[in-house]
Amino acid sequence: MRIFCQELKKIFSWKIILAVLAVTFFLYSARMKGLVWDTPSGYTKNPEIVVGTEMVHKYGPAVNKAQQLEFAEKCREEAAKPLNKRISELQEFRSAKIHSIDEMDALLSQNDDADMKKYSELYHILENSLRSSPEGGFLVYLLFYYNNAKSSVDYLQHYDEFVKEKVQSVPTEKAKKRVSEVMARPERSLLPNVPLKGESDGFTECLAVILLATVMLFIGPYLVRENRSGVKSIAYTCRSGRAVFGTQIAAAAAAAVVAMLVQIAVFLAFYFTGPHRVDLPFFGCDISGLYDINSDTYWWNMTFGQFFAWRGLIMFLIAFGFGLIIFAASRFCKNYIAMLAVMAPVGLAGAKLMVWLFDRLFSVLRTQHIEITVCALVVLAPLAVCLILLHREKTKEILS
Amino acid sequence: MRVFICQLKRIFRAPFFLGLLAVFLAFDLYLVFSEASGHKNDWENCRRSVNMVNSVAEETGTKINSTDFKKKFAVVLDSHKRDLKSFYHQKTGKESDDLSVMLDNLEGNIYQMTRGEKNRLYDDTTVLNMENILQNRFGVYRNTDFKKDGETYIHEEKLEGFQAEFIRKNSAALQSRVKEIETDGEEDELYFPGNMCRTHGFLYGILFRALVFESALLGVLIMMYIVNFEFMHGTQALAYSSRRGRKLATNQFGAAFISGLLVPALLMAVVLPAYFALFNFSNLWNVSVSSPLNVEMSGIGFFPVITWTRMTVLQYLWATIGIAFALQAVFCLLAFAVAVFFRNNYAGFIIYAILSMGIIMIPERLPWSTPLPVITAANPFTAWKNCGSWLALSEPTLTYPTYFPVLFLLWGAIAAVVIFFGVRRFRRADL
Repeated sequence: MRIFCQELKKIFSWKIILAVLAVTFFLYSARMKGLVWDTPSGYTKNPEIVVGTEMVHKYGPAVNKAQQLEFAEKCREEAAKPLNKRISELQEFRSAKIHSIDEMDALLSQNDDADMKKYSELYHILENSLRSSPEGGFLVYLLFYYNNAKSSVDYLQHYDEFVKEKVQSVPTEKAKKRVSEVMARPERSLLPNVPLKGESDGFTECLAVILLATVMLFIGPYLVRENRSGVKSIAYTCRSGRAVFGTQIAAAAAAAVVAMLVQIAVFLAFYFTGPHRVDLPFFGCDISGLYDINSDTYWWNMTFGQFFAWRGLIMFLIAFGFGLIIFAASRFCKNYIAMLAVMAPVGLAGAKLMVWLFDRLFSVLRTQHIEITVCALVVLAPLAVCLILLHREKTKEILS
Repeated sequence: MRVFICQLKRIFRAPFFLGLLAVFLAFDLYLVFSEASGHKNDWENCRRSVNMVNSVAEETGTKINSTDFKKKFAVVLDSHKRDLKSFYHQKTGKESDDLSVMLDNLEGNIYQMTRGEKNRLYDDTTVLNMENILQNRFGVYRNTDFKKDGETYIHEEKLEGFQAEFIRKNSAALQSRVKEIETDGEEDELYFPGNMCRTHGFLYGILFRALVFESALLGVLIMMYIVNFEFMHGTQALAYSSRRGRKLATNQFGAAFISGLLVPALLMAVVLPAYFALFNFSNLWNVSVSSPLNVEMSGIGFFPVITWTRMTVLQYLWATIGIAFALQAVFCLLAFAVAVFFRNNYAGFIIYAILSMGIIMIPERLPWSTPLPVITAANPFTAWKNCGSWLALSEPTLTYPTYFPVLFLLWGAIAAVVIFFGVRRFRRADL
């Protein structure tokens, strides 16, 4: 145990802790602003979240199709309110006798070139006017959001036709069957697409990169230091010295777990106290069959909370696996440059793999068990390599 | 000279150099081949689209508004419409004159098609889409008022003083450049439609970004490896005890700098020919990059590529290669500056990485009423991040014609000063 603690101390050197803190700070500053700070018109005011929360409290996590249509309609109305207010203040709209965003949209349904041109001009005027208002960014976002909400209402009104298209758009028979099964459910989810996608995807990717960087920075130089110092031949002359490699594997694994748990705890602290705390009411909602036309269908029946936990577990396992790869590689690195040369492509490969995995996690557009297979492979293969190295260590002639 | 050559040999024989070069080449070729194979989805294939546009250009020429072009393009369009009709009949057994009905039906059955059938559909779709794109090509240019956008940005960000004036001046320059594009015929030249072919975004935004990053990484490792080689192997006392040994650092720097510059050359020598062999640009080398067709999705909007001066595709490519080499030189100089201060390569590399992250973030943390954000944004790391918009319309702090001269002068000077003090420290240090 004493040797194990000594090895842990070696890994958690204060210089590397400082480096990890710096990297974490930069990544949070660059990519996680929305997790920590809410702008005056930010995430918490999103109409999907506001209306969705009310409805979850009123109906629970699952609703019938009519209630889901009500949800989509309400979201559209919420987005339209500030836009209509702005429209009523604009001279160009008054002279065109347009009083609301719905009336402006009606120009599109005429299929007339003059109306289309008029729509395009008015849209530009509205967008520019929204941008120059004090809440500019948020109102422009609402304009996009209004269009999305409108297509969602349209989607729910012509549900059966869209379901046909959705089924046709997936690649395999098995996936088609799953989509049909989800779409045929009488009870539907009240989860908005926003917590599931968009920002939270960005956070997931960033946290995955942070975990990977943390593990690699700690474990990378660990054995190189020992290889350079040439103490191995002295250490291996005694029995406990011979067993030290096993302890080192355990120490590296324990250090990786501890470092990652700390990083995940920091993330969760921000998540549950920052602007994204508003996602909490949706943790019991199912992730499939959302009212959003662009939402994915998933292979498994799971709630947003379960999905959240799975995402965490997968990034934990992948980062752990890549930590073991770096540990095994560092056994053979005689200097830091060789270590860095291994670390750079392995780290990039790990980050790419994570981004690829989280892009469509559990989606029917992917092969069903691909995520679990990748995780198993990434953890078990390097673990096997470490065990082979351990066996080799016990049998080879050290001084040769 | 002999010592210099020995240092070069030391670098080229280092396993990390050969290993990383091989890994990077494999990754870049993977990027090129995966883009060429149309891996993103089954409904579009960029390579087929690029090659189709190129072959259309061969038949029609590149002047879109000439009557000759219109006549020849009508012939090409007609043949593809006929082909689509016969393909639709062949696949569904039905007849139709409605293009959108035919395309919807055929794309709905894309998973049941053979590779040859898919290619036939991609080619027809490309030419049919081209008709729409050519008709509506002025949408982004003519609807964009950079002066107004500049004012909106100033208002949104509550800018004043230097920064507001700077953005006003550059917006006006950009607007006059758009006028120039309209009058000198650049807007009437054929180019690979951005939303269909994504050539600019992939070649300059993804491929060159990867090439510059890989070159910088390998260049930094080479520099640190060679500068600290004697310390790493414990031979410093022996090597630096003689008068010649004290000059070793000069040879080491020269060898590492030249090897550092060779890295992008080696990578580009393999990757760019592979890219241009798969994506045929032969008939469009001399058209302007600032074409209204060169508009790609960026964030939630479409943004055109508008270069500060008229540049053909070939000129832009050479300019990008030139800037990539110049940036590589700056990265290597900075690595030398860090390496002379840190004997531990791991610490040196981590410091270099953290500094680069910090330098990228500095501009947005500085007061916007001063010139500081503009000056600090001219750095090699931000320039790398902004790869794909070099010499063209970009973020407000990066959008000015003298961005790269400022960058190279400023960072060349910074590196020179740090190296001067580093070498002086090395010469005076008790080894």
